[in-house]
Amino acid sequence: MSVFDNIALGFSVAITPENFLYCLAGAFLGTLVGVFPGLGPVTTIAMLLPFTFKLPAVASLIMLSGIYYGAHHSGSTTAVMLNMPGEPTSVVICIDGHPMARQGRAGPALATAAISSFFAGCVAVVIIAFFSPPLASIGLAFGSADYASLIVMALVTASALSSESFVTTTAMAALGVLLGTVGTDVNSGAIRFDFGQPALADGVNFVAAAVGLFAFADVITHVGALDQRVPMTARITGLMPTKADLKASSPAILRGTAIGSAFGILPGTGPLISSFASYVMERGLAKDKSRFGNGAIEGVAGPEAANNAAALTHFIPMLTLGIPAGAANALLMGALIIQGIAPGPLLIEQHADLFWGVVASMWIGNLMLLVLNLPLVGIWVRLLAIPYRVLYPAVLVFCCIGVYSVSNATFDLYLAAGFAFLGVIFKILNCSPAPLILGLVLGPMLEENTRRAMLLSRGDFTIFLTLPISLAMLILAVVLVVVFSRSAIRDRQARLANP
Amino acid sequence: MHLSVRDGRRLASGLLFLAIGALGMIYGSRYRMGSATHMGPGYFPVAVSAVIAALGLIAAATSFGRTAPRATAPVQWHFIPLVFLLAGVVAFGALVEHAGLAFAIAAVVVLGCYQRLLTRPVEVLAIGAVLTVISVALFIHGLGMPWHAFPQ
Repeated sequence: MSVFDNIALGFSVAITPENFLYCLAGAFLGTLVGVFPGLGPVTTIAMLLPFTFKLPAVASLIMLSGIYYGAHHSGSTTAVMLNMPGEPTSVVICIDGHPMARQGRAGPALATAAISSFFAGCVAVVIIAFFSPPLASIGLAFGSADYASLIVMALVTASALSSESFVTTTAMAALGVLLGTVGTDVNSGAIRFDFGQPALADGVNFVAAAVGLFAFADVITHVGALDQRVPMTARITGLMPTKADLKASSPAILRGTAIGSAFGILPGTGPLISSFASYVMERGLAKDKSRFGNGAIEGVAGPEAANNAAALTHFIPMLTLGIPAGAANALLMGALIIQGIAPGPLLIEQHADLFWGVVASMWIGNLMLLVLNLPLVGIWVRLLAIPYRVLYPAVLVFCCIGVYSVSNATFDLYLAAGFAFLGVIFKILNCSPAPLILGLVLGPMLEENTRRAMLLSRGDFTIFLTLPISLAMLILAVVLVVVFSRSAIRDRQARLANP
Repeated sequence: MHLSVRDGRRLASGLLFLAIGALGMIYGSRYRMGSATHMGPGYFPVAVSAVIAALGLIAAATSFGRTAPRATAPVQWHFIPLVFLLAGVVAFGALVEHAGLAFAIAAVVVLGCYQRLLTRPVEVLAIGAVLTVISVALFIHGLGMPWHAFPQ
């Protein structure tokens, strides 16, 4: 079957009334929840998980993907209106988006963000459709040593791209891997690190970990200073960008989409680095650099396109190799595994309807986002006026319900509380929790593949350096770490994070 | 000029990882190690713990320097919200199975809104009531989760 037959198959799956409705519901709910400050894609997915459990696998992944990109995009609304990034990827949007809002141009800023995001989404969906099948066939050639090295690469680069110290973030990823070993060892049946808790025999619930580290820790650190949440001052007047805006933003959108698509494919690399890279590029190319930081439309258009392109091409490593590229993808993959589907190189072949259906739904979902964000933007903006003191009890309650719903286990709530405590400590110590979640989900795969590789090589550790694919992965990891830790992007990122 | 702590947060996180790694190695060595070819259940966790400990040691060691300490924002401990909000989450877990979803939500809201419980009790009550009604309607009646709303 050609790619076009497959895309036709995908649309036949995605356009059925139920799946179309789930796609719309996912994009709508993702936008609705993600627009609130402090609620990034990870928290939004965790809170909305219960809505997807009873669905068939295809509908569930379609809805979860909708939640994911809906939440991803609506973070930029918060950034423009409140100058408050809902998630790290929107930090860049604040720099020029919020000045635009203060100049009374919030409407054009939001419209440009929505248009950039839609254009980037269309391109990213095409890239997913054309790149995934060949990548999956490469994935089939991967042996266990290659997989182990690929996972190490994903973990190491995810740590290198965080704005904090490389050593401590790598330690966070390793801690995630260690937590991933909790529970029954598949090879020997031994139960490890259960501390006498039968509930831990199945391992650490990653939803509990994510909710604790992201959602609860965020609420705890903000509740003490309730009044410090900024009130909204900007108003939306006109919505449509001017001709000059469109002329200035079009090339930025194209460049941003290219950057985002390239970075998104690499596991571990993220929308975060793409939006920063796009901003740096637009600023570098501009004739008048002083406009940047004072409401330059390219500073919104480029990074938002890069952000959304990377968020979508992030699905490629997950759907073709079974390696989630970020914390939010790790959550999606966990939800797929709960559904009894293990993502990997065989997914496209064995679950063609699922893969192509989700790809087609992504395009539909991005169109929905455009519709949701252009005419309805006033509604989202009005939601931002809900005071935090009313909002956060709802976040706490729905997160508790989300954690409990995974396996109806009360122990998971205690686990989430424990992770929240850790999360606050890590926040104080400037350690980013995202690599930990990635390590937690990838840990069991890393152990499994390492052990199998060592069995095949009869205990010879050099197998990781002598097999060509494995060696290539490790070299790529080193190169990416060196490039990103030395590059100007990282410096700028650090400066932007703590001005 | 002698060595001094340049980055207190880095030192603390390094020591934390060193401690976690050491604990992981000690606790993990209770499981059979096996050989590199036939790894037992203890081999991989102990190896990963060793990596964590080593990274912690590096972070701690590099936090010393001859330059002046880096200016960083003062540490905020968030101690009171930590206690109350975690108590709320734990109470949810303790109550949801037998006392039902309504009481579990009430516990989260009451403990979560500790600052306003005495000054604005009506507001807290209203938030709790709305969240309870929405959740019971949505999750138990709408999604058919196998939970109770009230004690059985």
